[in-house]
Amino acid sequence: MADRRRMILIIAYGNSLRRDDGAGLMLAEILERIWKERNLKVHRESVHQLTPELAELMAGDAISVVIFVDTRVIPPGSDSLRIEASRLASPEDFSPGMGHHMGPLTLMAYARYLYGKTPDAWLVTVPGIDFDHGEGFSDATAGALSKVGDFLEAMPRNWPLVESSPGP
Amino acid sequence: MAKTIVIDPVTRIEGHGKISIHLDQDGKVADARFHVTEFRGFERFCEGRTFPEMPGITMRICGICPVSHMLASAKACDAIVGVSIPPAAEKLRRLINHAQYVQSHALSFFHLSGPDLLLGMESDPAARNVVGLIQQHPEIARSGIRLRQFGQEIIRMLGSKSVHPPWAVPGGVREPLNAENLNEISRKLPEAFEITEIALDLLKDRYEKFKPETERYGDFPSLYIGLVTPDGGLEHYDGLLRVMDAEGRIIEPGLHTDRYKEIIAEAVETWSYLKFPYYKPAGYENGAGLYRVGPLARLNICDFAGTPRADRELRQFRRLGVGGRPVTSSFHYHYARLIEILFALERIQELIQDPDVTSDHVRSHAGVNRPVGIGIMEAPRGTLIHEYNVDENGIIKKVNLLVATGNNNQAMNKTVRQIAEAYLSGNDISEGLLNRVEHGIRLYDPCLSCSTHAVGQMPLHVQIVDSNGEVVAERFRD
Repeated sequence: MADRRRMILIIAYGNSLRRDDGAGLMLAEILERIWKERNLKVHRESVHQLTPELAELMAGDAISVVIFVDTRVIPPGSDSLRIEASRLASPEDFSPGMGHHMGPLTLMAYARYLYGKTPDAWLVTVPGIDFDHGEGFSDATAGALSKVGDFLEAMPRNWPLVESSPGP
Repeated sequence: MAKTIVIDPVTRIEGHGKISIHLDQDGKVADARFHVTEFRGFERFCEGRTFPEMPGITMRICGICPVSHMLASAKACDAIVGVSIPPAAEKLRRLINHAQYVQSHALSFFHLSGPDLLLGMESDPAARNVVGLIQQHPEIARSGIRLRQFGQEIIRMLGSKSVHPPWAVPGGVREPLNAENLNEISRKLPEAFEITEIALDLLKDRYEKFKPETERYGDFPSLYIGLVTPDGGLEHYDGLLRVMDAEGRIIEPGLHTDRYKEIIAEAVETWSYLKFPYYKPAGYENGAGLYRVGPLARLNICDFAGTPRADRELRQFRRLGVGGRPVTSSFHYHYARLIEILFALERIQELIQDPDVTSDHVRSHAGVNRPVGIGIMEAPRGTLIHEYNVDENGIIKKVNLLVATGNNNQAMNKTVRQIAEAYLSGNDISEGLLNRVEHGIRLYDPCLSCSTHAVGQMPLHVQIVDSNGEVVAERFRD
């Protein structure tokens, strides 16, 4: 049985001034609240974009699982309107491109190869269609966020503090 | 048959760079274009907001240099209220800005360019990545993280969080530094110096190996623009605008920043949303007004750094210029960046010994006194301009943001063309070419799409298209 006092690290990223791009930040707050109400130990980092020093946080001794929370782009009219979760594979080759962007797998590589830690990691995504400048979410994204309960219900019991399990 | 090569990062939303290399009938490079979409939406988005909100809003343009936007915005707001901020506030703003340089330049050098510099441009793509870097140079990778953390920690101490600190305000700042934090900075400074010196040695040791790159990665004559102190020293926060020509002549010794429009104008191109600023007296046509900003430009235009270690390095840096002329290769942005980290650390060392940084008098209060406010400073990647027009109630009517990436736009295009001319062979879109073009852009450390982010790695999509629009070669890199 999972130790309910192990630390869940939530790393949410996005821009709350680019409408749906900030939905991951909102979802992270909701997950943190729900899990804390369940007496789970949670630390949340909400950032604009992922940066290398987050790897050290991920490699902390208390961290059992890392939950990256982001928005995923869906085409207008898509029926993929659910919050989704997928377990992240072991990192191998993930370098930044031309810009300043780093992904979860890059951070996992840093944690693994620099600090010798490979915490269980998941990517949880909210669907997004509107990335224009502004606050608030599109109807599709707001609808997905309102169904966090359904998402958690579909996940294995005790998720995310489980050793291995498939996504919904 | 004329062809076009398109290097198109497949990203989640528009806003990232795309590179197209246009070939002539003979298969030689005729032109190169670096397409970017960004920022203009933010200017419109700010209209109708109250001016004191602007530092908090505009810092959210970027996750890497929010401090720069916050400070440029706060300076524009200072101008609107028409006050001189308290000396303590200016020193604290300088302190957080130096910390910003440390974290931003460390990210560029260690994490973004490190794999290319330490493992080689043509090394096996399977190993030329973060993991390859860590496996061969774990101490360098860890050092890069620690140096970045040092800068981030100071930002967090002052702004209460490290990414978007709502700290600088019209008329000053919200909070000073406390004694406990001063001690913490002082304790960690020696390691930050040590890491920077190691990085400098590392880069200089590899210069001979990168001689071809220094001659082909953006090595061209241009103008250079940036801020200097009133006596010509290296300046990152305030000061006067100086312009140097390709021969090293100072053609504008020190223009007050409020008059920036006398020397900088903006052109637009249909194929990019990024503006094309140019030196107005020289004009836009044929690249006459092309100028560079950022670390390379700042070290070219200043007469001295003003701190002992940075000045020692600056003297070495100047030897890279031929015949007493400016240092022309954009490859040397790397070196300039490290010198600026050293400069920032030395300035941090000075500032934490100044009693003003713990003073409680950190803000001047006033209402709207002027309809226009201009705030100009040097962001890590170059000159950053915020200009706001407000009504009598302080409501924003118009915003103009001229960001560092925009200032270097012409130079980035020219750099891509030069690299393509040197390394493109027929229709062979090699991994080496892709990486070199990417590195050419990375030299300028641009914020391509500061206000968004991508999931995972940015793959590349390369196409060669003939004059009939038919794809004759194509390559993807995941």
